[in-house]
Amino acid sequence: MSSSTDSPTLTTETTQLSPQPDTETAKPTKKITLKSSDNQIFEVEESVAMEFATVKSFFEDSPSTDTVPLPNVTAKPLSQVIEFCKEQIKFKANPDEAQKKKYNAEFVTEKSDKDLVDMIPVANYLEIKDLLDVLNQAVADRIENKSVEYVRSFFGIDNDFTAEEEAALRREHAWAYEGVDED
Amino acid sequence: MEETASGDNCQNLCEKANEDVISELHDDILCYMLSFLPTKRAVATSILSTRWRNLWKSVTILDIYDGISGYYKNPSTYKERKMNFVNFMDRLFIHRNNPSILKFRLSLAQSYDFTCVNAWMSHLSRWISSSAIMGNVEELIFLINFQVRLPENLYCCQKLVTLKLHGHIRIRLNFVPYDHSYRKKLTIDTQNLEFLKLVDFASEELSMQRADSLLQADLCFGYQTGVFNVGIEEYANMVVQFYRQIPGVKTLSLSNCNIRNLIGAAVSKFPCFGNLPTFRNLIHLEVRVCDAYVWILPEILQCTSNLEVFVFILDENAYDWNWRAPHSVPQCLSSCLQVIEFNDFEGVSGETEMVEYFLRNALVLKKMTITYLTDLKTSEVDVLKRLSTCPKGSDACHIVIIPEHETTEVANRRRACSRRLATETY
Repeated sequence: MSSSTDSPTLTTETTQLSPQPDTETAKPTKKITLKSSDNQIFEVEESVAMEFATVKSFFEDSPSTDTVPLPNVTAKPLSQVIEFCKEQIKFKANPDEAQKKKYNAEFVTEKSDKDLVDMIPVANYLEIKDLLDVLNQAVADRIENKSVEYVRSFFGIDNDFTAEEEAALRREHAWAYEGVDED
Repeated sequence: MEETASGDNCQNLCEKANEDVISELHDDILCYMLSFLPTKRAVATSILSTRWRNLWKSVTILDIYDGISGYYKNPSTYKERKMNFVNFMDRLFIHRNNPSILKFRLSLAQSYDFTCVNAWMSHLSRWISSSAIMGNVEELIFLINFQVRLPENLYCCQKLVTLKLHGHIRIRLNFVPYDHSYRKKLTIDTQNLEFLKLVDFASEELSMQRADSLLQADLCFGYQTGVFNVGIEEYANMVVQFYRQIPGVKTLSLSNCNIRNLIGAAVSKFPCFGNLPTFRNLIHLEVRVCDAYVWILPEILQCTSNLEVFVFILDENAYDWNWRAPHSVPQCLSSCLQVIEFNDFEGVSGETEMVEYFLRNALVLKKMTITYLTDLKTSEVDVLKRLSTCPKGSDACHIVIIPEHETTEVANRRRACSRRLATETY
């Protein structure tokens, strides 16, 4: 497993991204409250929340709700996903493909392996296709030439094959295990 | 999932959090994730755990490259890796016996045994025939460094957006019933292509990238009136642009449909007609044309400057013979044209006038061969007499008149030509 020492603790991160009173905008925009599985509350602008297809359809079904519970999503990946979507809204308003590409690349580059992996189920659950693509590409880039052992550790996968089964599979697809980088 | 994060020991937190959140995801999501990897690496995930064992078999984007060029220096390793790759390819088609595919990319840097590549291609062809692929595949890319014939049913893929070919590739793409719902676009971007045979009545948009290396082109594509949505002038412009990208051809064969587009451009005075290139390297020109369009021949000959052989084939005789001697004689007639072949001669007077024009104006002509159909309208002797007495520009010219015995073959050839609704790229 590659280290994730560059990432701050969850407590710090969520505090930073907790809702701040929006002092800059004169006209208050509608806010939507999201509640993570670990009971963190996120207040996000409606436009950002509507990027989450799951949240959007939740509101379409029950428009009077004020808090959307997200039982499958923990605070840290959620805060990062919100960060990403806030930027995407800006690009929607002022399309600039080059800048968007640059932002997306930087967004994933600065994340730890674990951050990336943890965001995938969230992006999937919230149905944010652009983010899912960005994350999948980033993960693919990080594991492309890595050994099986490295990839297991990357995802936190427990190997439940017997040694014999694993050896047989390795023989069957010998070509697939050639040419990997040193871990 | 972990509870509210409150621990202040980061190390503990990370270890605790290092749960397998990925394996819990639905198959579709994992396969989608694997589609971002080259197929080689996607297959390698089969031994991560039992959960992953068969996931790669459902990935809808295949990106296969042999990637063994680095092992040249060590012959035994090279041989082993190559064998492993061949085994993989052989099994790929067996493992995925009911595939659904969006994208397929095959990049072979090495050459492989002919029969084994043929087997892969016939498997691929079978895949394509399965409705799951024919209905869905969007992208097919082949980068292959040896001669291979691609499956014929590629063009039947209804949602195919991209087809890229690189290498010594021969494909024959069969025409599918025309679908109005979208325009087919054909892009040929093949810098090193040497021989191109293109028969295409389906693509409304043609885009030929510069191909200086192209030596031989056999072109049969044309506007489909009442079927194409693209304007006729726009299409004619694309045809002329196409010619402009292949200035180096030595041998060129133009079909009646190509000629018809040029006629349309000439008659309607489209500006593109004036942009026809000069084929300076062109030695051998074959033109199939119907009797009503023969007046365009001098215009086409004007586009050559070193032509030696001119072959004329009557494509249809459905209309009236329409020959008009041009105001100025094409330059190749007076300087370089040595051989003229005139096929399927019928002996009508316009035809004979045209032959006489060439005999009179071709100053360095060595041989004029006329093959005639057995139902010749004027007797052979009369034709010979008339042609032998007509003024000739070249004293050395030898006239040969021979019957076309295999008339059924000629008839079949003509029918085949007008029916061959296919695209061929070599």
